[in-house]
Amino acid sequence: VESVGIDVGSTTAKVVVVRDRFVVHRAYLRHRGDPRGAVRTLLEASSAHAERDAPRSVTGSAGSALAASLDASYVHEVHAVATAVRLHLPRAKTVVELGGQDAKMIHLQADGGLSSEMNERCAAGTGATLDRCRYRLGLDEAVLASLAVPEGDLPVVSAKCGVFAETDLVNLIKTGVPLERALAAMLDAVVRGNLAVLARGRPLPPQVALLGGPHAFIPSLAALWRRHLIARWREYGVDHGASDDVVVAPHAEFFAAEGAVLASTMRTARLVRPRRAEPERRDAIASRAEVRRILPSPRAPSHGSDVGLALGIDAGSTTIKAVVLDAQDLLVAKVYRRADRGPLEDAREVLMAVARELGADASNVTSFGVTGYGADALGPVLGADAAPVETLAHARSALHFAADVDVVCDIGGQDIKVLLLDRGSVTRFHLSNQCAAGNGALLESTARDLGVPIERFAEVAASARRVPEMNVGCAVFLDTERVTCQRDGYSPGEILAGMASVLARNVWENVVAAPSIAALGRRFMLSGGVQQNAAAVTAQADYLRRRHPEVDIMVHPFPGEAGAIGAALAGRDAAAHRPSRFVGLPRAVGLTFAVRQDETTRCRRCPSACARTFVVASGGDSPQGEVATGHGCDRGAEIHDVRAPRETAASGKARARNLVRLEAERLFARATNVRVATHAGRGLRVGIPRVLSMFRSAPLFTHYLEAIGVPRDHIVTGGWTRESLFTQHAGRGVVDACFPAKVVQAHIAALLADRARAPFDVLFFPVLTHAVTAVAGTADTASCPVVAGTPFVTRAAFELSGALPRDVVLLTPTLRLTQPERFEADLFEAIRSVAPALGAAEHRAAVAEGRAAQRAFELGLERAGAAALAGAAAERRVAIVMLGRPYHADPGLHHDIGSELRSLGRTVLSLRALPKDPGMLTAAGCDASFDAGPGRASLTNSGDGEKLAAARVVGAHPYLAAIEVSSFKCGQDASLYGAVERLARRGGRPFLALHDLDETRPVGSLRLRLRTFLDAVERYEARTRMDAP
Amino acid sequence: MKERTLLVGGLSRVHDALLAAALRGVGVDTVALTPRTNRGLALARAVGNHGQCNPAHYAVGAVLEHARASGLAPAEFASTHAWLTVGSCGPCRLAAFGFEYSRVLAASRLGDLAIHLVDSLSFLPARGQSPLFQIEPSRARALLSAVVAGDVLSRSGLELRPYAVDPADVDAVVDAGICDLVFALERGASPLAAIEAHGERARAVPRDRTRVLPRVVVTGEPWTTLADGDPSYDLLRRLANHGAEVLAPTASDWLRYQIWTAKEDARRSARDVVPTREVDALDRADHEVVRLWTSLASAAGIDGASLADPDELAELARPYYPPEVRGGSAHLEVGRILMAQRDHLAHLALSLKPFGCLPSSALSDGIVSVLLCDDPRMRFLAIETTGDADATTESRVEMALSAATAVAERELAVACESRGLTSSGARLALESRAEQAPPPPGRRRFACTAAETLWRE
Repeated sequence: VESVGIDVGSTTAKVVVVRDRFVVHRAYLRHRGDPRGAVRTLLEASSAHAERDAPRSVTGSAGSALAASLDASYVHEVHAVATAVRLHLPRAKTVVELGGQDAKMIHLQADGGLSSEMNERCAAGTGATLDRCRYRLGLDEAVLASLAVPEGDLPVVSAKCGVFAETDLVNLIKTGVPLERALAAMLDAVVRGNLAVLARGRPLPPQVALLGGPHAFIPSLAALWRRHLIARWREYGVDHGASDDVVVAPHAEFFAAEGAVLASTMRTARLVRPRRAEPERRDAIASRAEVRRILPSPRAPSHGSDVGLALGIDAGSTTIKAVVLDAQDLLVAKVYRRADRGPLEDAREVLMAVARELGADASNVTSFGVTGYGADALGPVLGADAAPVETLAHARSALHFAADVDVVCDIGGQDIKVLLLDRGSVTRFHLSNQCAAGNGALLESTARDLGVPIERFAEVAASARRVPEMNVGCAVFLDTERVTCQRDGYSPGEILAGMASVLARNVWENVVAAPSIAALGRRFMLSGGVQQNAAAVTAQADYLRRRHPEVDIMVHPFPGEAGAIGAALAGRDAAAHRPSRFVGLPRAVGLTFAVRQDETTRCRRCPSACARTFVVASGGDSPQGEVATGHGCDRGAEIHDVRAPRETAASGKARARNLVRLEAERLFARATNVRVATHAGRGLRVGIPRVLSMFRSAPLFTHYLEAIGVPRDHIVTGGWTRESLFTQHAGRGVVDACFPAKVVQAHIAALLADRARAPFDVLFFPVLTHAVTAVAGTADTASCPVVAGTPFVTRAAFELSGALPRDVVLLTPTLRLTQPERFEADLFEAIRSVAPALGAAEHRAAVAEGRAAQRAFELGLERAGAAALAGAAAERRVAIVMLGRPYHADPGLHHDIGSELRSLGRTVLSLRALPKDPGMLTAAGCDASFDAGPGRASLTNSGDGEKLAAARVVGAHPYLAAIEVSSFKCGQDASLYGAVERLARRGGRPFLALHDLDETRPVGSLRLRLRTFLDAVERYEARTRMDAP
Repeated sequence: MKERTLLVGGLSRVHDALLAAALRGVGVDTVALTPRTNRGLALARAVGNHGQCNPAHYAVGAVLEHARASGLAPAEFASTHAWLTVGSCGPCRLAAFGFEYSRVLAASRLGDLAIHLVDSLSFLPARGQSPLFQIEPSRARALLSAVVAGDVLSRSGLELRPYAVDPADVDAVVDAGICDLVFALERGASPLAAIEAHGERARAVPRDRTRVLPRVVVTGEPWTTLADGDPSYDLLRRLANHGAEVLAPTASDWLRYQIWTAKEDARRSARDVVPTREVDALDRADHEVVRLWTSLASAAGIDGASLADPDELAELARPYYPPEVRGGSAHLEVGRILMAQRDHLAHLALSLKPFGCLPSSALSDGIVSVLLCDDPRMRFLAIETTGDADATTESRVEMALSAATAVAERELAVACESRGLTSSGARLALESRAEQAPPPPGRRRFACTAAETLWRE
């Protein structure tokens, strides 16, 4: 008797017919948002193999919703998969199944039981992310299917979140990393991410079965799983060596459907209620709020009648655009293509097309401007006259068509940029952070998934009779919601309408977070490729007009080419004052490029160690010869002198100081005159990870240890956070916390791995529940729970799992720095457990020595800060304060932007380098005390008060501006975002928020932010100088 | 204060109604806020800080919804109402609730609404707050009665629900209980008689004791686990309806933890002599919570549910999560789960918290997942709420419950074998005990109640 098994997932539907436990028919279909229709089609196709009334079982994410209408019994997919695996792969102990949305790890027990882990929300969408990346690069499935994994280390792509991963992949391609290598890095991130999130530090004993569509269609994924699992088995001493320790079963994509037939049935009641439609929002997309379309008009030549043609290129994340303007600023050529071959090759393609359009006029191009992610490579190679950062290019372009515009909103595939202008200058800007990235591209990929051509997006969305309520923000969450909407029966049009509507809220509620739209201005211009989508424009117009009835909304006449037009205008402006550097269009199209990326091209000027790409152009007389791309900061642009950036004594760069770096170095330096109180600790060798609370209190503990007799060279403090440290040692994470907490396990593993060279027998990692701060009047000064409690997560990850060597003692005393007597007593008890000869009096003396060292460190740093502030005031040159937590002094946690800013001639202070003493502050030109302000009494966290107080200092010194740094997932910082910004922006000071720092350095987006910020700093500085007496 | 109507809310539908009634009973014009919903969350998020944790936005969102529903102009609503709410659950972002409330209310033209942030232990104004509203000892006692009565009523409903033949009976019984309690508390009377009446009604609900159900111990962040409706996906009620025995923390547990931390802080901050008077006062407060719980739980007929001893929880957790680290439920999650594991109380530990909850997601989850990773009898599942109920969350809960049910069924098979019973014999044995009390609290041989019942025969 036949039975039918049906598996309905987020993107595909599969049907199998089972007869006598053998599968006699298999079929699958992408359902494009209509799972019911796809199942109907598949069932019709299977009618030759099974009777219409054959018993049916259904599984998959949409299975429970469809069970009743299919008259099928529902089986949870984990049970279904496990049942099929036990039949086909009896040796399997672990199953890893990757689907469109879900990633699952199933542990099969010998007694027939099983346990499973499923990805949490941030890591959702494994298959969907791969598909989205493929769409953005314009690749078909065959490219991934035939991809070979290169030997050796791969570039690092963020493993925790699909949006971050997508951003990293775009950055890699833009910086010239070969496509195959970048794709392999992306797949490697999928494997690392699943090991981190699902395995929770476990070694996953063999046999490991790999299931699901991505495993079936991308053989490289299995190769990467083998690579990581074998390394892990070796580390944990797990028996392995069979050729099928890691296996991809044939027809594994049908296991769930087959297992559904074989497994017992489950009840189908829904645990969680389905989402509700928002009937009152049904008109959100259907209405037609008035939007002005601006028409370009000829202008008098701005630079004389002999001005030639101006070329502009916007090498964006998803597409590359080129435009040519004539002397009257009319568009005479525009070319657009998907960016999928690296910026240089892409540029050559569009330039060839431009040359074809221009015909004989091609040789009349006399200026060139470039902007976008690929500008760093294109500018030097092609000889750009100007390379404005994207934000400024868009502002220039908007002002060209509407000189009185107040707000420019640019939405591209990757970034959202909102610029606030006043009399032609950008006064404030808001850029989407990493978490809001990719929302524009998501509209396109969703339409494609739902089988709707992008040109018909608006038409299909307008047909929606109801609009599902969706949450604002992350594209991964949004994509998960899309799947839930599909399950709940929303049509493709309704889903698209929901996504267009949420885009508007994402821009104004999330990216700009403005309580009042009217306060931003009256004239809004919408630009960027996404504004070609009428549904997106209408949704934004409706949103804006509901909150600001007087708003005047314009759409840029060339929304997709706005950046390129801005670049062309900037290039023309620059070439008006000096001879153009442009190599000329005929020569540019003749260039060929040789690309090199290996360990010799890596930048070694800071711990970020960016993997640069060197490009040599030939065949067209490139003006620059070899050019570096992919570097995170301007220092990396230097190819030859890799030891030190070029500086002259007289330049501002030479005088600029980096006190963030100074803080990091001094924290772990040792005073020369430590008074040794006892030799009770002489036999000890102590390892201290350079992490979290140690960045607040390292001088106290290292000097204390020396004072109890631990020889200086027996105190091992590890190194800074580096990308390689995390990739090599991050396998023991049992929790997916913020990066500063997650990297702790890697620091500990690295210390343990290096014991042969730097031995220790005590690993000292105290739980510091409270900190002493200079901010008075707060309710408490408790440490962040994660900072305080991570030593115990470390204990769980290493000690409970047996990974801590038996001859190492993990010492994690709970200490409260705010209670000196208690602190002394608790530390004494802990240290006595490893140094029994330690006497109470000697211990007290050693604690005093530690405290003195801590005070000396803090005072020394503040003096350096006071001098820097006084210097900024005297030179009337803005210095930058990095507002972060103490651990952000680690250059590996803040992407070493301090060094980058210093290389650009800006003095950088850490929060702790700001003077706290009122007298020192006044002397340094600051008219404020280090005080958290009126809300101080409700603050309980140590760093919260410090951040608010520091932001007030910034707002009270005429030559200070702030960059707020925060690590992804920091809930502690999140609650203060707006408050810190408001204080630091006082008086129109520029402010930059870098709120999602994580394990990888998003080179392109980071540079965009820093350059836009520095441009604002220069304008502010000029204004302040003019206003000064 | 006299001319303003006080708004209270932030726990469950039951608790909010009883707290408002208790305040009316001591002469304060009070109404319970509308339940927290995703609509309120969206209203607050639209003008709030997106980094803020969702309990803050659910709470202030309920005020926005209430103001809209009142039909009053925002300025009039703000000038005639005040909002009584608890400020914080620890030294992470929740501590900044006050900032966020003010910001959201101001952006919603309700900036003049008086916010009365109270300390969750003493009901006294939080530090830095003006004494907008005095809660004298009599008022504090009335509030305590309301909190504990709300806990008992909620717990009774959870115990009844998975075995009730018709879940609608449970809703009717709980609703009647709320009415009786509101009537009693409004008059300033003891809740005891109303709870006794509820107990009688609950005993009359037809139930099927032969069901083989998984047991789920719930832990997590208090403002989510104590909530019903959208902020918690209504998960406790739904798990119970779906056929799970749910052991959930109560507001009384939270109060006892607050008392315990105050005692610990008093002891730790003492240089030489422990401040006996302060500790004694806190001990008396703790005894009062326990006394009240015991008497009301007994009256409701839920003797099987005792409050966990905070000292015991702390000592169980101490080797893995230092009780000195505060924030959210702190060490309570590890303590509760280890207790359930030690005493075989549950098949599944479900940690429920708002998205990105620092103490829970970034600490407890890591420790618990290691502690339980090799335990075949008890699994661990962490759920972060985000204001919507996505397919992945649903699938994870279903799967965990399914695995837990499989363990419960295996336990029943072992119990039957040990007693020489067939499955039909087991059913008869369970039916014959239907009118008797379930197994007493404390250590079990089997977490599954049916298996434990047969084992104890």
